[in-house]
This record gives sequence, structure tokens and C-alpha cells, in this order.
Amino acid sequence: MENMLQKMMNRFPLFIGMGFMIVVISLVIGVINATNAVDYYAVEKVARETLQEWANVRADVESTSIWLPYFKFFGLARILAGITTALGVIATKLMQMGKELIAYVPEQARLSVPDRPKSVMWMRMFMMMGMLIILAGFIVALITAGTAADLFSNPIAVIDTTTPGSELLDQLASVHAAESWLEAFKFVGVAFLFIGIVNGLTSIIFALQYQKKAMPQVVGNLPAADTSIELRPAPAVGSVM
Amino acid sequence: MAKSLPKLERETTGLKVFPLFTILGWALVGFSILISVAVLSPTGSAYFGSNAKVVRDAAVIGDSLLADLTVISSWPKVLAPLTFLGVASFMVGIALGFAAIPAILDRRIDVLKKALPLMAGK
Repeated sequence: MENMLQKMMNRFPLFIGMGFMIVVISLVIGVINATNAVDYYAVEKVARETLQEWANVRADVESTSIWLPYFKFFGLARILAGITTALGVIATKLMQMGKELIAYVPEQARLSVPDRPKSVMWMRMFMMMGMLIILAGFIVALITAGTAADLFSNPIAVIDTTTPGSELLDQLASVHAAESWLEAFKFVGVAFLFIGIVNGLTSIIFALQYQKKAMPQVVGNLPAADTSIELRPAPAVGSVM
Repeated sequence: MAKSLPKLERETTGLKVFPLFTILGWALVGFSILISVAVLSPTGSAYFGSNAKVVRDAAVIGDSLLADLTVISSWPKVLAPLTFLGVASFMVGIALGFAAIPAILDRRIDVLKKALPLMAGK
């Protein structure tokens, strides 16, 4: 299970790439939706509120305006999940580095390595919760968009004169009700993802703090310096520390 | 023939590329705010503030009021995803910066293993 999670975490560039592509696709769909809106609003009010052909155009515009924001947030959520997994990879490498170094030094200089902090588990949990919330919201947004498409495919003159108990009014009520909570719900998902990022950073800080305390103790307990070992020359590109 | 990069530099190319995404993010967000302030805001103000509802509703094809209405209705549908793309570009830049760290840490452990014995007794 842990190996499977590590393999998935190492693929974080894929999450980020896919998320960015989703946001680009959202932009293209937004532009198409905008051209439909231009067509719709360029016609006289009387015509666009009574003629069936313009009702169909409005149905497209309204339904896209409901599901597209969630699609954008889905892309953004994938990028944030990619950032969280990148932090997880960094934290794991730091802990692994500490273990390798401790195993490398002589027995007398070794210190006990602490267990992995709980923040690693919380990071993964919050990241998954955030993704699930946004996915659930996206599914509800798609269903609501379908309802809006059915509703607005009727001319506005028909919708405005409908009476209580009719299917159109029920559809209008469900669209407005869903839109009201869908707006804030996606930010709940984003908030979970940000908490995941915070936990990832906490894991990195934990590893760095341990290394800061452990290094002087390990070095102090090492046997006398072995000057027969040669360091390779530092690489010419960039700094490695 | 292309020169092959040492492994470390190839894996830290992200550090060289991330400023481009940051600039792209600023450009997209800046464009959105510019259009919102310079086009949408005055158009909306003129459309709703200078005309009674009866006049707005009676506008015919070719009337400047309908042209204003198309601007007010269509531009937000473009600007919202464009701003998002800008925010996403910033985040991709951050991710590219983070992505360079694991490769640097790998190199660090090799160097530390060699340096530790030399530090002993100091």
C-alpha cells in the first residue's frame, strides 16, 4: 500500500500537467460560451424571450455557466494536489536521507530515527478529501446544468407565466437552490487542499528540525577524521546544498 | 548535435522555466483586471445608469444599447476562465520550483556521506 502510494506521489508532474490542461480547456469552452451569449443578447428582448430558437441558445449559455466553474476548479484542484504530492515527495526524501546517513555512519555515532510524523497521513487525507469534495460538487453541477438546460429551453415568456405546482417552477427552484450552495462548496474543497499543503510543509519542517538537532550529535560522535577520503569536485552547475 | 545536460541540470530545468509561468500568470490576471476596469465597468455603468428599463428592453438590432449588453454579458464569461488560467499558471510555477528539490536532495546525500567523515573531530 505504501509502495503504491509512493509510486503515485512520484507522478505529481502528471497531476499538475493534467490540471493545467483542464484549465486551458475551460478557457476555450468559456470563449465558446461567450460567443453564444453575444449571439443571444444581440437580438431584441422581445425576440429572445419568445422565440424557441433563442431559448435553446439561452439553455446552452445558462447550463454551461453552471458546470464550467466546477470544471475549472477541478483543474485547479489537480494542480493543488500535484503541489501537495510534490511536498510529500520532498518530505519523504528528507526522511529517507536522514535514515541513509544514520545507517552510513559507524555504530557509535548513530542516533534513533523518529517515526514518520502524523502530518504525512493528514496531508494525504486532506488532499483526497479536497479532491472528493470538488468531484462531488462537479457531479452535482453537471446534474443541475442538465436541469437548467431543460428549464431554459422554454422561452422566458413561458417560464414567467408558469404557475406553482408546475414542473418548470420546480426546476427553477432546484436550479437556484443548487447554485446557492454549489458556489461556496467548491471553496470548501480548496480549503481542504490548502490544509493538505500546510501538513506537507509541516512534515518538511519536522524532518529539517530533526536533522538540525541530529547532525551536530552525529558529527560529534564520529571517530577521528579520515583524511584519506577525497571529495569529488563540486559540479559546475548550480548549488547542491 | 545537441549537447546532453548532466543529470542534475536536466532535473532542475524547472527552476529556469518557472519564471515564465509567473509572468504568464501576471499577464493573464493583469489583462483581466484591465478589461474589467477599462471596458466592463464603464459599459455597465452607462448601460444601466443612463437608460430606464423600458428603454433598455425596447432596444432593437443595431442599437448601441444591445451592443453594450453583449459586451456586459459576454466578457465576464471569457475573463473568469482567463483569470483562473492566470492563477493556475502561478501554481504551476510554484510546483515547478518544488519539483526541482527532490533531485537536489538526492545529490546532497552523496556529498554529505563523503563530507561527514571529514567533519569528525572538528
